[in-house]
Amino acid sequence: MTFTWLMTSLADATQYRAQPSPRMSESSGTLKHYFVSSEQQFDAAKMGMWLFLVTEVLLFSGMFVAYAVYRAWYPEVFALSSELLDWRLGGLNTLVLLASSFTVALSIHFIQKNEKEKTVVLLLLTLLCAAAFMVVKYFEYTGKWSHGIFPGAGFAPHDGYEAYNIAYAPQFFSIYFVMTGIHGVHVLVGMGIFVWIVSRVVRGHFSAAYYTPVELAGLYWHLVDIIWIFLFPLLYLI
Amino acid sequence: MAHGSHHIIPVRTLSIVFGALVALTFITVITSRLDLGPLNVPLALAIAGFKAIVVAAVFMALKYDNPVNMVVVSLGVTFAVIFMAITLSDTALRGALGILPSGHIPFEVETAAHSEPAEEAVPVAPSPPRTGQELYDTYCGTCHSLDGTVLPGPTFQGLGSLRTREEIMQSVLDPDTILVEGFPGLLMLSMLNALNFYTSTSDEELEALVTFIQAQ
Ligand code: HEC
Repeated sequence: MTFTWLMTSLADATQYRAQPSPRMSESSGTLKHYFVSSEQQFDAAKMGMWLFLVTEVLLFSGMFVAYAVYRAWYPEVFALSSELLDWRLGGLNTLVLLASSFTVALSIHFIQKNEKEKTVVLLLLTLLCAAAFMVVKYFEYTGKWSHGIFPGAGFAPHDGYEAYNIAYAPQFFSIYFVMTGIHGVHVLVGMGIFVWIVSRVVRGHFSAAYYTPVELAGLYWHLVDIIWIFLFPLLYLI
Repeated sequence: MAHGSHHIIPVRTLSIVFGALVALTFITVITSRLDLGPLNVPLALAIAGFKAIVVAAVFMALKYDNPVNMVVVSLGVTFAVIFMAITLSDTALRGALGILPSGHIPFEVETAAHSEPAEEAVPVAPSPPRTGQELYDTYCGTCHSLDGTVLPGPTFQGLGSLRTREEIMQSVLDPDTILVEGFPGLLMLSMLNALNFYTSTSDEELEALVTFIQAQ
């Protein structure tokens, strides 16, 4: 029974064009007929999101394992290579992402209180932070590329970085680029999701009675933040 | 609202958590600058783990949520930890397999960790022993030239008349005790460690290598 409940919630958690329900006077039409209550529907959607987040954790765990194995094997190489990453930029991005998590959490607070203008402003601030994060990342990446620090076979340090042309430094930088790259893709996807969420808030789709998508997008965004919380010390502060 | 999953978290709580996360970020940076020896990594991971738990508990509202979500998360994290632990226990204990010449698998594989000092490691010498020139080409040529060119390390040209055999051997076995002026430390050691030079070279081969350098 739990299983069926889970499957239906996964399949339909994000589609909300159901029959109007008397229980949902404020935002009619969001309750699927197979849920007993909007409460149950909300819980189901949220659990589906948590299951998705667990798959995300496992996706990143593969990369963290690769990192741990290579760092355990070549600690000196990792210490030397990480000197090339600017901890000030990494730290700045950590603060920027924390701030964006804060604004998302606040936006959910205010949609729960039906204060939609504040919700919109806070979500726009979140988008701003996300954009700032990507801009910093852009400067970090291009700074590396201009010195020949590429992932994989293209690794050829020059212009003052010659001393970093040592065995297994390419592995460090491949791990760096893949982990931060996939994390960066998550940030971009999150920005797309928030643009969509903001537009729906503006169009009046959400209220204190129904705000599930805002909450789910928030959960996703916090996970992206958590991944970075680990990436920052492991890559920049060796 | 009565139901747990619709708990409205007060702005005050959210602000305190945000402040704490920022403070912890600064603490992470500061402690990473201190030399705490082997404690640096566990401390950084402990702070990151604590930050992650705070984000999950308050920002993601796990604390106020239907407990089933907590179960889901814990299961996921548990599997990630098992994945990490089993992989690391394998890679840390299998010894230096990466250095084997192709087509040759010795039965006695040493189990020395990669970072152990060269003296204690039991060399797994591939047969037949490599010559000084071969060793130079494999391990040293990227940083030491034979013709006077300065690569990342000093040239070997004329080194035979500049240094004694013992000095050369000392520089090879322990590159950082005496540094040649104008050249960085750590570099040669980390490169040779990364290439498993110390664990894969026999005493006989080392002698041949030093002889080769002396002849330059
Ligand atoms: C990653 C670059 C690198 C590699 C590879 C490397 N070295 Fe060095 N080597 C250096 C640097 C830099 C110095 C100077 C700093 C020092 O004394 O440690 C140096 C110094 C030396 C010296 C002392 C030279 C002098 O003037 O006293 C000797 C001898 C030496 N290396 C031998 C070797 C041998 C043998 C190998 C190969 C098994 C090797 N090096 C591989 C970078 C390297």
